Amino acid sequence: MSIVKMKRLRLIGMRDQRESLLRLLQHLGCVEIDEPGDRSGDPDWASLTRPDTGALNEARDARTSVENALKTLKKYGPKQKGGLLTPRPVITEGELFDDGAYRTGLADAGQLVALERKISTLYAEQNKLRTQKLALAPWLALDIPLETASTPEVAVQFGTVAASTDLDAMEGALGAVTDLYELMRAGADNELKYLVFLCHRSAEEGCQEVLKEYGFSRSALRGWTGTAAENDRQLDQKLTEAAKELEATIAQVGEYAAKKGALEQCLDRADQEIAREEARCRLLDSSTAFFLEGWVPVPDEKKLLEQLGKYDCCWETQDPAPEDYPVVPVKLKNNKFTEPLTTITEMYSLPAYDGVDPNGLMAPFYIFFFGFMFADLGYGLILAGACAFINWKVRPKGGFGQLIRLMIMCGISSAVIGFFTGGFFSDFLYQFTNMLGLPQPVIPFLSVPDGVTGVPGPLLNVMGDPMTVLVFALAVGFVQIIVGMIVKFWMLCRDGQVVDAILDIGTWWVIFIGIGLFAAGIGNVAGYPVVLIIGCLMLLGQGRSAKGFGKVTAIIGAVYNGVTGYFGDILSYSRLMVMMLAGSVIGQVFNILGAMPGGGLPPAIGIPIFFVIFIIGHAFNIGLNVIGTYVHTSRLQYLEFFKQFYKEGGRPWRPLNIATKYVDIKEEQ
Amino acid sequence: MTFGEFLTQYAGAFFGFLGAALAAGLACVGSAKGTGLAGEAGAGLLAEDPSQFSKCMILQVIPGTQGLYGLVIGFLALMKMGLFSGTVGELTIAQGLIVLAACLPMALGGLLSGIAQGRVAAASVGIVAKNPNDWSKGMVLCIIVEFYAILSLLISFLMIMFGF
Repeated sequence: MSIVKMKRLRLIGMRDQRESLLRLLQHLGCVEIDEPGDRSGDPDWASLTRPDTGALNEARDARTSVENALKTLKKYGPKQKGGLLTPRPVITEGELFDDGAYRTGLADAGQLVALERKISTLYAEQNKLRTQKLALAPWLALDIPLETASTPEVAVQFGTVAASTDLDAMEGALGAVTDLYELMRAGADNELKYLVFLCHRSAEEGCQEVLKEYGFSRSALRGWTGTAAENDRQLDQKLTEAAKELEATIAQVGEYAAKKGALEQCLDRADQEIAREEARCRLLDSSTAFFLEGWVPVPDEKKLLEQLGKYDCCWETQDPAPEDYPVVPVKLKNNKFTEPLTTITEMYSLPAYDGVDPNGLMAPFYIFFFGFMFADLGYGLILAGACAFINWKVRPKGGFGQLIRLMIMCGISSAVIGFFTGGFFSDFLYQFTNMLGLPQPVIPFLSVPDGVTGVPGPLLNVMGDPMTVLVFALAVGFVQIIVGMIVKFWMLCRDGQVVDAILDIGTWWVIFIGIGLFAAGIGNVAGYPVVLIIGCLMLLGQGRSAKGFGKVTAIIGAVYNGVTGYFGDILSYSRLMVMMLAGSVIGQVFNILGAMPGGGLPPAIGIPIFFVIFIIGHAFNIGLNVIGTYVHTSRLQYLEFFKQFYKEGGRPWRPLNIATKYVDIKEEQ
Repeated sequence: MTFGEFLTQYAGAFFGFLGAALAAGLACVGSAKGTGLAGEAGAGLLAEDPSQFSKCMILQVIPGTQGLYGLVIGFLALMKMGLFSGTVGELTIAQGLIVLAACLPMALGGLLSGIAQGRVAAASVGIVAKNPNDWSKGMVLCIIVEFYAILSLLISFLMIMFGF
């Protein structure tokens, strides 16, 4: 619930211990190693060099190879069962960093990449063969070999004319020149007619003119021997062979399916290598020593320094100066309850190092607002149950894990608020019992009271009395805005700006109280609302930093911004009621739609029909509402709440640690 | 039958039906255009990268809700008019006009917000293409537009339920 204090760490160690020291830091996961500050003006510092990037490139190559291997496996391997709900395996750190397994994994990856290359070659080969087959297709009817060449006596030409050419007319024209010719028709397609032309050398010149006239163009059939049909058979055979080989190669890929887990672990390992090598590349080297600069959280400092004592190195830690605050990384310290809100905060922006961690302040409002908008006992239980199941089964990490855990709490909140506001799949109880002609069950809060049993009705009934809900929503919004203002007040006081706190924020409180008293008609002195007048006079303080006529515009500006700002912000909370109502109305319409056909039919038919419509409709409504409610709850925090006090722009703390995607590391003590 | 009698007998129901028809019809047109825009953009991306199907589909269905809201308002209007209880013939001209007016926010809001939201969704497909991990931000941008369809739904709902 706070921003963890950081200290600058500077360390000089021996190069021969560097690898082991970096591994220790990665194991501890409590130091962010960043670029050392610029000291190039100092000749002693300028002589230091950067470590070579050979090992980093090697680790990146390894990662690419494993990644490609996994892609190959996914593309050509057998379909893997299990989907999103498969839990990650848990291994120890020793297993993750086992070099033997890493080497085996990389070797397997290499094999898979080679197989992938072979598959690509085979596909290319098949394409080539098919193209050749297509080129031969028009000549298939020809029974002379394709390499038939001209002799000293006879000229032979393979060629084509346009499909529209009248071959009989062409033969007639040739016949007029000579009898010593032969025009063989090989085949035709949509565009061309394929011909072989033979003639005696004596008539060649005359015939050529006729051929030219009819647009005869020679075809290049070099490289073929034997008839087209023979070649075609050979190509077919080659195609079959290629297909067989392709099948065999894909089957070989399939044999690696069992190694998917090992390859994923290998990918995780490669990522750790990259992280450590990247950190190493940020160091500065002399011939025997290295220099490291980074950030360590104050709570981890003792643990780190104890471990560093085992190495030949010297170090210092230092609190950052206020002018360094923009570069200090930000880490939020949270308990189980507020930790899931981090995903909401991060989506906006982390707080600045000298700002305030909003998670704890936001948590009660966020969960309440979500519950209020979603407000339905049934929906809430489904949401909380589904998210709890995912959390238990998959143990999701990172932002998604936080979101899932947040939704468990929001689901419970929705269920509770839904119970007190009479929402159970909207008005399912009423519509369902009404359809069957039964009396409505009497459940406290959930059912509208009949006035006989004395059971309490819904505390807020958004369908029957939306005005009360609207006023309630605005009141809750007012509370959140006041909380935001208190935080800002506190921040200003903390930074020693007490006068600013009182004049900028206290003024509005006095005005709010004044308006309240005026409306209630109490506290008036001689008919004047004193508190309100004092508040308005305090507004004059808004002009304190401006000069001359600027004072007037500063005051007018502050009044205008204040009135429109607070007024608009509070009105914005009307969405609490709007979303609550929208969800109920749509749910109710589905209930009525379900009950309508069921009403006239016997229950044995009516009830199944009702539930089909009920399930489809409410599933749709839940999906729609979860997304909408999530966005609008977040929006109220970002725009209305954060506006009052939030100082954003923090840079997230990214320590050198073991961050895995496919496996979980077992905590070892 | 004089013209006055004709009006008294049929105009109330006519105006009420006109309102319900506009609410459902125009809102559905808005959704159809919106999902159409987003669908076109999504299909363009899927041609390159079919693995993003689920994200594209979610973005495409977001502008589909206006049609549902329109249906809800149209349905509530018909219920209020007594279509299902068989009393629709007793609707006065004033009541019919109230239903018609009450349906207008949903009709216009649904039509225009559906199209606007479809454009945001189509642009968000670009986020899926370039930065699939950040696509939820595109979804958030779409939902901001959704709010105005919900406000239209709300005001139409209040007018229908408490109009007469």
